[in-house]
Amino acid sequence: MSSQGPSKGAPRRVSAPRVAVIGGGATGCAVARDLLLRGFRVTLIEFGDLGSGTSSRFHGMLQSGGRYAVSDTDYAAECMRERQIVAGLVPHVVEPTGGLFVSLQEDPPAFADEFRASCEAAEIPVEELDPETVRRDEPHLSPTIRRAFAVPDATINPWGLVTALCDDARALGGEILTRHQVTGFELAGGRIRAVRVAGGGSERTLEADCVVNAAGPWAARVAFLADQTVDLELTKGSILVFAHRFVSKAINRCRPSTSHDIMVPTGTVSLFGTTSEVVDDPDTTRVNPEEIQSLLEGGEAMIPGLRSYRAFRAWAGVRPLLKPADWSQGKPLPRRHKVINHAPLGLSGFFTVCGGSLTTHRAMAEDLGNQVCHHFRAIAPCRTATTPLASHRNTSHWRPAESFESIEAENRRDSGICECESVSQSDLDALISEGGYGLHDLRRRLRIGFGPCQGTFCAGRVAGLLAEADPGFPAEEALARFWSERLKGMTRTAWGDQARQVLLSDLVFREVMGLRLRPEILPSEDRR
Amino acid sequence: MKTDALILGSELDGLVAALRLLEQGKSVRLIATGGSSLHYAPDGLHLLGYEPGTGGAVVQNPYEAVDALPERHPYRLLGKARVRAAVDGFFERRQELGIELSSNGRNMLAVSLAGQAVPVFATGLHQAIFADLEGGAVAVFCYDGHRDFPSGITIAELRRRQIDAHLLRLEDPCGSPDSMRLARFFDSHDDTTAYFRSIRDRLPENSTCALFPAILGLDRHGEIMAAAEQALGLPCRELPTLPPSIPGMRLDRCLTKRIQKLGALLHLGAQAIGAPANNGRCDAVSDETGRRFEAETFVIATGGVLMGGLEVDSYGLAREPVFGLEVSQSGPLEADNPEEVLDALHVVGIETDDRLRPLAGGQLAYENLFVTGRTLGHWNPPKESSVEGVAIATGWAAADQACAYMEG
Repeated sequence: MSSQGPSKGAPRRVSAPRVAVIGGGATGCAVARDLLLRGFRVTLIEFGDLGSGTSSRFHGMLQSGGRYAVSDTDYAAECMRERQIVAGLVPHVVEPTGGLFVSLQEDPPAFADEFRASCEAAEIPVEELDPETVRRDEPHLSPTIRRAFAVPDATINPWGLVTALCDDARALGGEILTRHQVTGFELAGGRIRAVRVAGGGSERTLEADCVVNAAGPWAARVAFLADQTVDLELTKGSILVFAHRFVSKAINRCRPSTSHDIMVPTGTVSLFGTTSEVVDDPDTTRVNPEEIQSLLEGGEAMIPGLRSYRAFRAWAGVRPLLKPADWSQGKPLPRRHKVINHAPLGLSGFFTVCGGSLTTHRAMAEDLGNQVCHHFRAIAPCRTATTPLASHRNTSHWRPAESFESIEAENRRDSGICECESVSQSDLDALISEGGYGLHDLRRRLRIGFGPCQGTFCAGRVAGLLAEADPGFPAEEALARFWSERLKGMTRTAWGDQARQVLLSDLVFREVMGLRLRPEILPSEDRR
Repeated sequence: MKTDALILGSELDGLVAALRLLEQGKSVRLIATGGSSLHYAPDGLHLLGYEPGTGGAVVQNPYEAVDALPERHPYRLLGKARVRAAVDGFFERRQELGIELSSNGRNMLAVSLAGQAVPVFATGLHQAIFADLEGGAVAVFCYDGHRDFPSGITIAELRRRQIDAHLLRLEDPCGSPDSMRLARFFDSHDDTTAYFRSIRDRLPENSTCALFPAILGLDRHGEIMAAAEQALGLPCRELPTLPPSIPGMRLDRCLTKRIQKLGALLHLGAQAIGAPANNGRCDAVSDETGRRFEAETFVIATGGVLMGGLEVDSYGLAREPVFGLEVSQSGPLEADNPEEVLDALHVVGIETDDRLRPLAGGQLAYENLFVTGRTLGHWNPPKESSVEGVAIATGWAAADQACAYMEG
């Protein structure tokens, strides 16, 4: 390895170390990009689709750090730095909504000044607003606002981010294996030699000089395959999705951050979260009726009358935080990420990166990359903050603002397939022709099935196109599974008009299409 | 003007009740928001398709399976004889209604949009059943750009069932085709025979049946099908589409026209919002503009949760918004298991006596009010495949009970 990484797109040197990155979330994808820019040969292994785990199962904010300003000022400062870098790298997936921290009647008054001072200490631009102005600009908020602070929070489309990172990694010569599961490692003399992966109906061995475990809540399971231990605390957070964009800025309660205190506008909808419950299993993504009620109660305090609005889905994600060696039960866990070099623990060439948040994914990759370079005694500075990403895909996929009528009017052959999210047939044709996509893959890329009807009308249309492109496509099976999965989230919020929507969806899938519900759908198919 | 009966809701059960009341010389007013679940439903009359409590075994003879239904199921409340009398009575009126239904007294297996076999007691005119598809090549015609007929699924699933299905793509005849536009195209076409002749050479050799999406006319469906069969020289059948359902709209239109001809007053776009009780009787219903509609008797055909006849709040409690009737529900409509939530949303409804009059605390709440269809509790339309059967049986029975009330 040279003292400088090769220029963009240059062929990897055959002698460069081979790194296997496990996990296709924001962290794994950023690690792949980071290491490729430093000249390593990289294969990324993801057991599902890109960004289908924790990376997409959170409130969707690119954080200014305000949320952590008081509790962890250093981490808050890192969030702010990273927020700026990420917004510059992938502006097409970031919506700079801005954020508001509002202190309501029942919030501790002294916290507000502490909040402002901490933001200033963390170099987060903070501006106190007149409560009257906030009441005017955000009329859905509780009128008991006493103080309010604006910070540069933003929202981010997580699938857009991971897709952009992966496209760039591919352009840099990296290999991306989705739907591949790591089944074991080959070790020799306390060093990593190879990774065994199963996927596409076969098992194979990938030689690797180094393994990066970026599997998020599954990191302990991956480490276990190499006889290593990673001590994680897994916390399930549930989120309610409303079919309204109540607020123009992302709203936080200005109080010590706990739960049930954040409303994030995204696209035409809003997410309200989150609950917080320690769980054992990273696949625990079921939302309980009690959590729904507790979210509604918390939401009512922020937005009076919230219960009467239409919620159309609920889902949960699992946040992995590392337990430090000196941690004792009851102490808050540090938010900041950590890189573990497993060499002192008996396995050389094995690294785990965990903790942090989507906002700091790039910094996580940078830290990890530095340690990997150190391991190989290579000098290759991190370039991810300053190197633009390879030209990304058609960004219109991430901007569902186009009117359905205009899609239909512009080209009548290009019929609209999804009314909720304005997706046209040509958007679908372009992806379907690449091959290998199922209904959920198309959903994450195009947002079909994301809107208030949750795929009631478009799922059948899309399955029809998939079946036309590939006569072997198991249409009935795929539709029944898709519907059963959507129904899990929809039936969590079956009140008001959404109760009617659930029954209409049932009518279409069971009575018109003649499908049967698949109650056995795996927990891992309970998706955002 | 006071009428003998006021029907709330334009669901199938409300239309059947109106028909039956008018036939017995009663004056009828119908007020409804204008929607009907018929506009979503596939073709045919579903009486009882799946055995209750068996995980979905197909019923051969619906009447024989009625006894296995839960005790408070509308069919059990009415009794087999009254259900049969209503369904037979509906059948006898096919001609005057302009509805063509055929039945052999047992369930048949219709072809669903996803090529699955679903039981149906009586098929609409030219509704595709699996028995039609045996013994030769099947031509499946679809229209370019008709997104509500995703024929790729149907073809794939029919082939998986060893049916020699061939997809034949036709040019869009009407511009940006949706089911309504296509149906209107056929209704307004001067020479449909010529149109079907022009596509005849597309048929594969040894074709024995041609399938179309269910869009072949709304008002002139019978004629159009006859022209198609004559021009193509083989049986022509229709497959369901995604909503809106043209076959459901045909049935809705036939019944609506008939009751209008018999003198029914229709107020569509009106939302009933309140009805003061008067000592166990109802005298009038008000709409959202404050207009009062007085009547001797009332039929509640408001379509349950699906059509807004029952409302569910965020605590999982259901209410009946017009009369504040007691809703029977075993518990909050929320559960861990999505299937349980669906079942709860379907079976929730008004508890009635065997004359379909609502109860409160086990006692009669109103003597001149009758509840029908999806607003009744204790039945599950998709699980039983019984939606038109329950609508016809309860609409018919409600009308007879209303007449009996007025006469006695």
